[in-house]
Amino acid sequence: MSVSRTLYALMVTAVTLAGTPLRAGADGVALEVVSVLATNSGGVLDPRLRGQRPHLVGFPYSSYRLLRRDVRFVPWGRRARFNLPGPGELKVSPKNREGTGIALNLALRGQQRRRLVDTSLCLQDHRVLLVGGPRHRNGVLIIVVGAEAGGGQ
Amino acid sequence: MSPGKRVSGVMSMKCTEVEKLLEAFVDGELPGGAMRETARHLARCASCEAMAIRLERVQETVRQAVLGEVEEPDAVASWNLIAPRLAASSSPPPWRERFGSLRERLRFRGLPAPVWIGSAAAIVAMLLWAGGGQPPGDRNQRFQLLARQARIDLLDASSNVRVWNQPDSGALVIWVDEQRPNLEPVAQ
Repeated sequence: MSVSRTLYALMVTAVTLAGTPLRAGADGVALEVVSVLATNSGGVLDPRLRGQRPHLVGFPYSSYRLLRRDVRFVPWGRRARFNLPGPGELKVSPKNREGTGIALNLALRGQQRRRLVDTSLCLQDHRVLLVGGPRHRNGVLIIVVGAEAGGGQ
Repeated sequence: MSPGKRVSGVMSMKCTEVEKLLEAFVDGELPGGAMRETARHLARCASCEAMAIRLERVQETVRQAVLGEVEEPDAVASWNLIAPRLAASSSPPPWRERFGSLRERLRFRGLPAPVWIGSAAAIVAMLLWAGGGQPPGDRNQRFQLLARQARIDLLDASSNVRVWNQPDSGALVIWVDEQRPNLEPVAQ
């Protein structure tokens, strides 16, 4: 009887341990950072930005060109650094889930790591946030930040 | 990590599969799902991640070299050169001629003018009726839902910052620096 109980306990432990990597593997956020150059020279919407069109039409620029697109999977509590076109960088750290939202820390750095903005916010899962303004070449950068949670915390 | 093995139970891609996609991944040219799956694999596979970093460095070096060589094309100047030639080579017939031609074609098919004018009026009336059915309250409600896509808890900046929601998509915008678009803030 005691042998079968021990065996049962071992089986339960084994199943629990086997399940742990599955949960841990899903605990994080897929972050997508799309860097767009907005200018007033010409009237072109980069075909690769068709999906971002509703987010861009409100800006007073005539031309939008995709410069860079990065996707990273970031575990909760860790920080990802995204290089932006030019000298800038964006640091994003997913903190935790808040209902259907994702709590994030976001830091934008400009030339020589100059601090432009630091913010804590809650972004709805599968939604985007736009950070714009840094000058680049003959226009400005608009950075589209999207987040998709892979698992709860 | 040996090639061909999966990293953990949750991973659906093998290292050999990821290697084939790495170049397109670094260029940001994979479809959304494949980008996320590859990113998920890289987050847990040190050897594939190292390969991606190496590739990214090489591509960045090439990119910088090319940018140094190639001047940014001036689309406005190019268009100013092309536009006069286009205008000279092919000017469309005036509207009166085009309308007359359409009328002739319809007449030939046996449709008298009152019929197609009446049909057009009916279509316009239907479109106006369909578009005017939404009460203004619904529109406000939709906007409020869109505006809840993100919430700012804390914002600290060294320069001017403006925050608003994009009217079309509801996405939150944080605009940094003094060079900002001349837009009225929509909601907070």
